[in-house]
Amino acid sequence: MRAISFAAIIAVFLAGSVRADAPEPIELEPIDHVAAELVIAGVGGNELRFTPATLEQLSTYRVRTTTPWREEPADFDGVLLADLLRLSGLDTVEQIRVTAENDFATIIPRALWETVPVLVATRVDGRAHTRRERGPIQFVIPMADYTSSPVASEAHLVWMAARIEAE
Amino acid sequence: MNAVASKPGVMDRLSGAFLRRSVVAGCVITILTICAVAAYYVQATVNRLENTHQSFNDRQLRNGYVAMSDVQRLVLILQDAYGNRSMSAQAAEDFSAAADFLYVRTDTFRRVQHSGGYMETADNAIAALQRVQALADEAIATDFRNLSYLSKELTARAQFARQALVAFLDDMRRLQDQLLLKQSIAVANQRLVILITLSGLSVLGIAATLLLRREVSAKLARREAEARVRHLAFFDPLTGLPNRVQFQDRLSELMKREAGVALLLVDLDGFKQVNDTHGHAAGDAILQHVATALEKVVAPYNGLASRLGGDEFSIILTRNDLQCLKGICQEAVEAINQPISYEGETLSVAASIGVATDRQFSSETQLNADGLTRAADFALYASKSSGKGQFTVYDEDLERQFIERRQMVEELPSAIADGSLEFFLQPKVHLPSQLVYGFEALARWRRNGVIVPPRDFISIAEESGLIADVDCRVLNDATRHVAAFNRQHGTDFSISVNFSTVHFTSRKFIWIVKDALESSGLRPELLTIEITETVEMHDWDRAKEIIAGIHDLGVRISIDDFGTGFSSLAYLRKTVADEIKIDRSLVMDIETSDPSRFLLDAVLDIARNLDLEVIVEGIESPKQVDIILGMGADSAQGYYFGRPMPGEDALKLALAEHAQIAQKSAS
Repeated sequence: MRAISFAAIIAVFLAGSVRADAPEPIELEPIDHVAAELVIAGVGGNELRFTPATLEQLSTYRVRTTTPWREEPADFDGVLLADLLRLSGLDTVEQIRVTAENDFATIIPRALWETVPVLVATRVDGRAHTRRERGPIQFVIPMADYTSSPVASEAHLVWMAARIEAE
Repeated sequence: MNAVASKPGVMDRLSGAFLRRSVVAGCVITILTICAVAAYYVQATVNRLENTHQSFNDRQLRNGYVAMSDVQRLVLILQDAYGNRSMSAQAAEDFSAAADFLYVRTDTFRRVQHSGGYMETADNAIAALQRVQALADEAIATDFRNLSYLSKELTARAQFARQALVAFLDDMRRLQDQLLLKQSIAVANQRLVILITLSGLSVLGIAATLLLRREVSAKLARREAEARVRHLAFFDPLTGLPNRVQFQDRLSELMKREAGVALLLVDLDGFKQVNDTHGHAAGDAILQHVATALEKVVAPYNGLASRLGGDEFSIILTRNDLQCLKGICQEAVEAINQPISYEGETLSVAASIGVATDRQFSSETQLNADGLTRAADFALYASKSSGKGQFTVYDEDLERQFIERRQMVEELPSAIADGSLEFFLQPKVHLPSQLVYGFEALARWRRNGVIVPPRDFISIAEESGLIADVDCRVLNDATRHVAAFNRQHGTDFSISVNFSTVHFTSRKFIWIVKDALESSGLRPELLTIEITETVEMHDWDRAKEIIAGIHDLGVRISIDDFGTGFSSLAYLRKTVADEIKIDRSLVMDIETSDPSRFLLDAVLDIARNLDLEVIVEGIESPKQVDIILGMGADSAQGYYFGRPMPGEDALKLALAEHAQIAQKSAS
């Protein structure tokens, strides 16, 4: 009995130590998305084109977190950038360039996706992500990782993402 | 002392200043103040920079430019549609996306503005963007039905937004310029603060380093001085050999922990002559030569050679087999005797050695360092007595003499006090008449019923410092006795008493003679003080002063043993003696040797020329009497006229002779 109580305490302790905003695998039912496209230029010149719907055909995850533009936490659903890059063969490059629909561009080093879970979100709070909410395709980093990482910066939280290529 | 002391240097004054607590406290406070002021100044500069940086947000600057682009994108799409008189589906989709871009941009602009400091131009720009956004939303909501109105209105609102954004961007540029200026000033100020701080700390650091160096130098000098003092405490500076202190320590230590210890005491023969003839530098060279020689001799035997002082050296060996020790002594004597060259001249000295080992000690002698040293010294004394350049091993026979001598030293003071120290009288004769006119008083010690001759105890008295007491005792007893005899028998016998040169260093001696005359009642002219040179006279001025004092009492002065002392001729030149007593060594061969006769005749001639009376000592035959009479001598003394005998016997004998002569003359 005593052993069971001790195990329970350890379990509670361990459960408490798991971050609440860590990505959790999730099964997503298909929904209608805003028209958008993410082009990934692979190493060999091949381009992979994803709409929010085709992105969601990969392994999807949910992250509940705030962002610099959201005081209240929201559930973001999408795929992991690391999975996406592995799929396109860009996971071994030193850094990638991400360009947004509004022509914003940023450089993301490999250290970021190897140390921090970067979610390429297509839904927020279960709804299709809109541009006015910084969708339809937005890079989201759990706030705890974002603040603790020496690599992550606000420029890496790209919204309206449109293109990924090796830098 | 202060007059010759040099002025203190900068470092001395600095060191002196740092000995004061107030100066140290002042320096510490100065350092802390400099650091605090520097830290405060740097922090204030950083705060000002942070405030400016908070106002100037480079993201906001970008927001302004991008917002302008987003507005321009809307205007272009709408103007294009107005030009075509219709809005295509693709254009509508692009317009909607552009409206979304502007929405998000304005939202971002607003958030950044709210999180930063208040800026009116930013608020104006956001408001202008929101008005553009509202018109874009209206156009989408109305499905672009009134393109003319929308185009004109959007152009107007875009123009207004552009002006607001330009004003905002101008403000941002100003902030950017301020930021750059403040950064430059901050860097310059920091450089100044750092320079001042570094300068202050450098000055203090240099001062501290110099003081540290000085302290370290002083410490090293102190250590060297201490080492030098330690060396001087245990080593002789001239020869580099261990000194007497170390010799005694090592000997005592060895005597405690080891059996088989030998001590060799080495004394140089003829060293004084080298010093007197060639100077002290030559003497030093001889001493260094001896030290080197002894070190070489003892090295194979692991011995310790030391210089005890003057021309005395010692060797300590941890062995006591006599055959080996004799070999070492022989080696030492020969090594020391090797001549050395000094300033073109060849110098040499001999050495006498006394050897004592712990093996030769009987139970009567205490076996310790002091006892061993005394024994070696006694053996050395024996070597010196039997000639130069020899060594003597302390053995049973010497030990017997040593013990005897020690006992005599112990007993002599009581002998002087209790009257067992007697005087004998030897007659002095007027040669032409053959009559005794006076006597020489000679000390005798009746010890355990046996008369001890003077040669056996006078040297002991001299070495133990009792010679003055012996001389005074003889003076008092002899003068009292002779004076009483003269009074009783109406005679005028004179009396001579020997006094060592050691008496001629203090005026107290004059009082001793005066007391003896007064207490005995002897007429002063009947007393003669014979100066016996047991040690060389050095302070001639002092001696002449004392001799003059004795002369003033009416007492006569005689030079005893003339011809054998250290400086007989010097006595003739410097003293005011009344007579000289020619030593028997100048007389003993006059019967057979022409040179001896010539020498004696010459001495008598000198004495006559100096108007000195002469007594010839050591006359033992009538032929000698005839010879010295022929030379014109008036007075003599010797066994031929009478041996020393108890005072009363000598006086009665002389009285009887006088009576006989008187009777003969009468008859």
